[in-house]
Order: sequence, then structure tokens, then C-alpha cells
Amino acid sequence: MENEKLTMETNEGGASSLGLVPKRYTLRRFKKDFGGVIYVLPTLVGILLFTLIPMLVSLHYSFHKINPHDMQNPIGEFTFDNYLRMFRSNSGDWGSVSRSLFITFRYAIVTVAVSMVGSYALALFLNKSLKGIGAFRVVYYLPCLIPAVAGTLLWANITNENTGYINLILQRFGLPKYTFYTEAKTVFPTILLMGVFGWGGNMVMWLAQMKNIPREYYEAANIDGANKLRQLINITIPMTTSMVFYILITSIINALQVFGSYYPLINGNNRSELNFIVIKIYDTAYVEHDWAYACALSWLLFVIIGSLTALIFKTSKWVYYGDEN
Amino acid sequence: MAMKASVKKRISKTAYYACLVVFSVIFLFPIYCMVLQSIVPDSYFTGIPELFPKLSELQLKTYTTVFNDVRYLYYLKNTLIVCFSNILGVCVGSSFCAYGLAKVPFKGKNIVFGVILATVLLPGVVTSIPLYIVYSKIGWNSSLLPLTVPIWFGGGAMNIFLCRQFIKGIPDSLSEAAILDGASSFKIYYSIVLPLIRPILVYLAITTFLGQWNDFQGPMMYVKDTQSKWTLSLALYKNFSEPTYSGVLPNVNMAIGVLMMIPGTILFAFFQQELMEGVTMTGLKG
Repeated sequence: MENEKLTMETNEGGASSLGLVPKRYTLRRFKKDFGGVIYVLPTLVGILLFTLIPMLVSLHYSFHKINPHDMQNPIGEFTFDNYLRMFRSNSGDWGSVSRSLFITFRYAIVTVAVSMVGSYALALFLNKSLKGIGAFRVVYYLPCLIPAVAGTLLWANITNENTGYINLILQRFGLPKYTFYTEAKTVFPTILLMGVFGWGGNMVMWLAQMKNIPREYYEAANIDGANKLRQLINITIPMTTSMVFYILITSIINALQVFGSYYPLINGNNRSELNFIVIKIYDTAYVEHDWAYACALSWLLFVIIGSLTALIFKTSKWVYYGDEN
Repeated sequence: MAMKASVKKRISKTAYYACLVVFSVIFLFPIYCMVLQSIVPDSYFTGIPELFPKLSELQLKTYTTVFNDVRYLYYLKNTLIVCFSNILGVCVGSSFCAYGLAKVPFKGKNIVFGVILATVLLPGVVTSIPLYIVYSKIGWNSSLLPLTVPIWFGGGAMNIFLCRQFIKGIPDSLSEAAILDGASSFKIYYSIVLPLIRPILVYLAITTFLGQWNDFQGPMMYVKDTQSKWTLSLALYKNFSEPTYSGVLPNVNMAIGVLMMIPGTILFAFFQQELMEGVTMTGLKG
């Protein structure tokens, strides 16, 4: 026994096998095991350079004092203050942070829900093969093609309290003027109203998915005497859940990071209603140059988005992906 | 009875088209306002405007103003540089990475795929501040480099995901013959896979174009203070946010907006098929 083991060990450690076996491994097996890595290497390098390292640097900054006026040597002493400041109500920033979080969540939940239901209804309405329907689809999608800045400027003009078209129309019918973005209390309803014009984007996605549902399902349902509502509940909606899931996740992630469409509209009156969390972070970083605090705030947002997405994924048993692919 | 049914059908069809038209009026309202505001005279913005201005007052002067202003040519050039380097970067980068993920076996692939997808969750603001500082240290700020270079590394997680879905659908039998002939995996990528994934590449190119064409957050972060590097969207934002400084009236801005809508509208009308096809990929499981 003892002897056998010894021989085996000497064999394994023998000079010939030590030289040969690993050499064969590196050349062939290594290429087979890791040759494909070359395809993902640029992406991994990109993630490292433009995501992972900046992420860690941002985390590092968030725990330090930063001097924005010394670009070469900005990092000061270690501190928890950036995080504590967010949640302290006296001498802290909790009032502003909580307000930003509240309006951002309200925006994300309400606009995503309204837009998903509205655009779904619109897609159902357009999901017919009639003459000229394609042209109507283009028309409904058109407002989505307005450049964000031009759109913001346009809405600012149209909803102007005194000179905007909507108020001119209201006055023509003898109705009172509406304040839209001018007064804080009418900002959120205005956002919802303007959101209608963005429904075309999701509508196109729903339509593409609805087209993929096999016709036989509806024919069978017709033979069984199922009415339109039953067909919607039992065929169309279940068959589009994978798109529901995709749009839900991407819309919520995007809505929580809302910035461009409203940033140009902010003025003294409506700031409390439009100071979404990313707008707050942007101003903290690039207007007030309080970079450390901006980094801490952006990590707060990251944690929120990460846990929210995990929650949605955890509860995604209702999603149907078709036959396993 | 039969006639009654056909009459009923016709009525419901007419009602349907009537609804379509009513909705069209709603969705065309912003477009109507935008075009109208681009052709009203300057005096329109001093008093209370008319809802339906007199036809004789309308003019196309705003458009000639834009065309005669050489600055907008520079902005257009910058915008196109950003758009096209992004389109190329996205198409090459994401298809290359997606091919590796979909067809070439290697160890740890699922981990790599997971890491790539996880980057979707990261809000852009988290990385933007360190990147801004690094860019200013290496002299990239106030140039177009931050807007054109990073995209070449992979082309974005969502794009990689879409490409991977599409490439997975290509039957292996197509590449098996090539493998028997001794073709390398790279040869299979560019001679077999790349031509076959044209629809998804068109989709990616169009969505990338529209995204970059309209984006002003990126340019605002990096080239805001260097007017010669402005893109059209940023110029529009500057005109709008600093009206007294820029001296540009809303009708000229609206004319720029109308002009900026043209490429997207044409692309959408012509490539509706490819766009739809690309969209259906997004709902598939990984």
C-alpha cells in the first residue's frame, strides 16, 4: 500500500509528465476553454474602465470630503457625513431628499402604470388588419420623434399660462385658464397629460408582440364562443406578459432616472415638484460642485433601483416566455 | 336579416375609422403646434397670439435663418460624428460580444453574461462624476471623445442582449459545414453570422441614431462650455434656456425642432418592418 502510493506520487511528479501534460493542456484545452473569451474581452474591458472602476471611485468619493477646486488632488479626509447628511432632518438635507424621492417615486409609479395601460389599450385598438392602419400607427408614433429638448420647449410654449394654445382654446370655450407648469400644484397633472403623447413608443412594442400570437388561438376561441373580453383576458394578455415584464422593468428604471424632459422647465415656482432625484444629483454635482454628496446620493439611487428590480424579478412567476428557447 | 348585419358591420367600421381620426387629431396636435410656431412672424411672441393666425402672416423666414447660420452646420457635423461613431460602435461591439456569448463555448460564460446584464441596473449618474473628473484630467472634456469612445467597448448591455437573442436563433447547421472546412470562429462570425443578423443591426442602428440625435444630457455634461463642439440638441437647449443671451426667438427654435424630426420620421416610415422585428426580440427570455 505504502509503496504503491509512493510510486504513484513519483510518477505524477516525474519530470517527463510534468513537462508534457500541462503543455498539452495550455495549447489545446486552454484554447477550447477560454478561446471564446476574446469575444467578450472588449466588453469586459469597457465595463471595467467605464463602469466598475468609476463605480468604486464614486463609492470612495462618497465616503470622503472632496475639494472641487483642486482638480489634481480633490480627495480629503474620510467621513460618513455625506450619508448621514441625507437622513438628518435638522442641519441635514432630509427635507429635500425625501421630497425628491417622493416625487420621483410618484412619477415612476403613476406615469409607468398610466402609460402601460393607455398604450396597451391603444395597441389593442390598432391591432387590426384594415386598410390604412399602418399610416395611423405612424401618426400615433410621431410625437415620440420630437427631440426631447424641442418637445420640452414646445410644451412650455403650448402650456404657457397666458399665451399657450391650450389656454387660448379653453378661453375660447369660456373655461377658466389652467396654470400647468407655472404653479406647483398643477405640475404633476400636467406631466400626466403630456405623457399621453409618449404612448406611441410602447404602443409599437405591444403591437409587435401581439402580431406574434398565433391566429389559431383566436380561431379556436371563436369556435368555443368566447367573447372579445374573454379572448383579451385569456389569450392576448397572457401571451404578451414577457413584453409587459420587459417594459415594466425598463420603464421603471428609466422613470426613476428622469432628467432631460423636465430639467429645462424648472423655475423658482415649480422646483419642489420637478426636483427629481437625478436632477437633484446633477445640480449638486455640476452647479453646487458638491461632488462627494452627489456621489452618495447617486449610490442611494443605485441601491433603490437595484432592490426594486430584484423585487420585480423575484415576483415574476406570471411571465410567459413561449416554448422554451 | 343579412342586410341588417351588413349595415351594422358598416356602421361599426365607420365608427372605428372615426375614432382613429379623432385620436390622430390628438396625436397630431403637438406636431401642428410645432410646425405652426415655426412659421409665425416674430411679432407673434410679444403679445397674445392667435389660435389660427392669418395665412398671409405666415412665413418661412425662420427656416432660411437656420440654413444661413453657419453655426448650425457645425452643430450638425458634431451631431453626425457622435451618431455615426455610436452606430458603428454599437453594431460592431455588440454583435462581436453577442456572437461569443451565443455561439462560442467558453468557461464562465454565464457569469460574464450576468455581469454584462447587471450593468443595466446601474444609474448613469453613479459613474458620471468620476468619469467627468477623469476626463478632465486626461483632457477629454470639451471634446467629443467622451461621447464617442466608450460605446466601442461592447456597445451597451441591452444591445448585446438583443443581438445575442437574434444570433441564438441562427441554426448551428449553418456553421457546422464551415467548421468542418476548418474555418475559425472569427471567420464564421464575419462571413456567416454578420450577414444573417442584418435586421437586428438595422434595428440597433436606428435606435442608436435616434437616441444620440436627440440626446442632450451627454453633450451637456461634457461639451457645454465649448460652443464649437455643441450638438444640435445642446444648441437647442442653450437657445431655449438662455434666450436673452442667445437672442433666438421660439419660432426659430421650433424650426430647428421640425428639421430635427425629419430624419427620424423617414427612418421610422421606411424601416417599420425591421423595427417591429427588433422589438419582438426584447421580450424573449435569455
